Amino acid sequence: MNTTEMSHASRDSAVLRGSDQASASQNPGKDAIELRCTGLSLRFGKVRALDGLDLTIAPGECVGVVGRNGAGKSTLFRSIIGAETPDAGRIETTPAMSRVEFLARTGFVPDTLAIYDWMNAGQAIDFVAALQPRFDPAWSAELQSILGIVRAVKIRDLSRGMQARLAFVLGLSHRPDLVLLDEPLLGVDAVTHDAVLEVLARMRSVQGCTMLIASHQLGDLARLADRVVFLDRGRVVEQCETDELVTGTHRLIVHGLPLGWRPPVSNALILARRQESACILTVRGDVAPVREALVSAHPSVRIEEVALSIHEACADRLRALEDRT
Amino acid sequence: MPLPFLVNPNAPVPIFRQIADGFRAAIGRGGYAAGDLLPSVRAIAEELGVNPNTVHKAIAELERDGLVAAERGRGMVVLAGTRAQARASGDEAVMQHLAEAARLAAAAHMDGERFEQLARRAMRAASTQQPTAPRTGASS
Repeated sequence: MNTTEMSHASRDSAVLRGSDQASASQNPGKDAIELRCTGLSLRFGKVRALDGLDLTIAPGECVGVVGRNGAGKSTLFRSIIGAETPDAGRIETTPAMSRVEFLARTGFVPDTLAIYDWMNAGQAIDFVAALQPRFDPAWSAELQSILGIVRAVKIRDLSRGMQARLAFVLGLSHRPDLVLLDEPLLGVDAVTHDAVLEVLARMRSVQGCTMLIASHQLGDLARLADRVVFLDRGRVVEQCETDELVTGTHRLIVHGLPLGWRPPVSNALILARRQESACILTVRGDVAPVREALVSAHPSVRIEEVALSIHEACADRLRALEDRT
Repeated sequence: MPLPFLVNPNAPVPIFRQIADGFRAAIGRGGYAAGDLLPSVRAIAEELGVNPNTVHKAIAELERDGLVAAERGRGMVVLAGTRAQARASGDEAVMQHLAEAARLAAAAHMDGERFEQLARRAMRAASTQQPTAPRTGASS
C-alpha cells in the first residue's frame, strides 16, 4: 500500500467518548440483566490482558466489542463467565445474584467449541441440557431446526461452520437473559449467517435480553449493536453509539497542503495519513470546523469529503491505536 | 408481506435511516397505501436480521414525520394523504444533494445549462440501474 504513517493525532488526549453510563435500551425484557465490569485487571506473566477495564451494559442493551487481536476481548468474556479470575476489579449485575444463578441465566457462545469431541452433536446437546437447569427443550428443538443441526455427526468430524452452529444451540437453548457472543459467526455460510441474525433478532424482540458481542465482522455489529466499545490493551479506550459511529465519522482528502505539514492535535482527529501528495484525515463529529480551520490556514487547499461505513469508521480507529504503540 | 427493500450494513448510512427511507420510498410509490399496516417491529427485525431497537428508531422517525401512526391493537398504520408527503420528503432529500452539487458547480464556474445537462445525465445513469437495491458492499 502506498500509505505512510504521517503522524498520530491526540496521543495523550482523552479519547474516551460517549457517556460512561450505558444508554437505556428501548425494550429491555422484564428479566434482562444489567452487567457492570469495574476496574478489571488480569496479568498473564508480563502481559496485562485486562488493565482497568470499565464497562456497563444496560438491561436489554446490545454492546459490540471491537479491538485488534490480543486487545483483551476473549479474556473479558472468560472473566465474565468465571473461567478466569481477575487480579482486581468487580463484575456485578442488577439484579444481584449468586454465581450459580448468573451462570444459569447467561448464555456463552465461544469462538471455538469446548466440549468432548468424541460426542456427537445430539449427545452434546443432551449433555448440556442435563447440566443447565433452565434448558428449554422446545426452544432448543426450534434452534436445532433453524440452524440445521445433524445430531448423529461426531463433533470431531464437524466443519468449522457446523461447530459454530452447534455452539449457538449449546449456548442459547436455555433462553439466557444475558447473551455473550465471542466472534460467533466465523466460518458459517451465508444462509446460516442470516439464520443466526434472525435468531438473535428474535431473542432481542421477544425476551429483550442483554447482549455483548465481539466480532471482526463490523457489518454484523452495525446490524446488532446499540453501542460499540473499542478495546485496546485491556481497556475501553472509546465508545460510541452505533448510528453515531456511521454518521459521525468522515474522511477528508486534502490536496495542496505544504510539505511537512503536521496535523493539529485535536480530539476531532482520529487518524492522519499521507498518500502521495494528499493528506487523508479521518475526523469524528462535525467536519465543518476542521474544514474551516484548514482553509483559513491554507487558503489554496482543495478538500474532498468521504462518508464512511462502520467498517472504515472502526478500522481507522484501530489503526490510530496501533500508531500509538 | 416481504419487505420491499434491503439494508446494507456496510453502507455509509445508518441502518435505521435505510429502513426509514425504504418505507418512505415504498409509501411514496404506493407499495403501502393509506390504512395499510406496517409489519411489526419484531417481523421487520427478524426479516432484516437487525437490532429491534434500530427498527423502533426507524418507525419512530416515520411517525414523527406524520407518515404512520400507532393504532390501538393493530400496529403502525399508514396515514391518508401520506403518499404526496412521502414524495415531498423524497424531494427534500434530493434537494439536499442538489444543493451540495450546486455548490460544487458554482466553485467550478459552471453555468445553469451545463448543470441541468449533468443532472439529466445522472438521472439516465440511475434509471439504467433500477431497481435501486442498496449496494451489496463487500464485508470486512
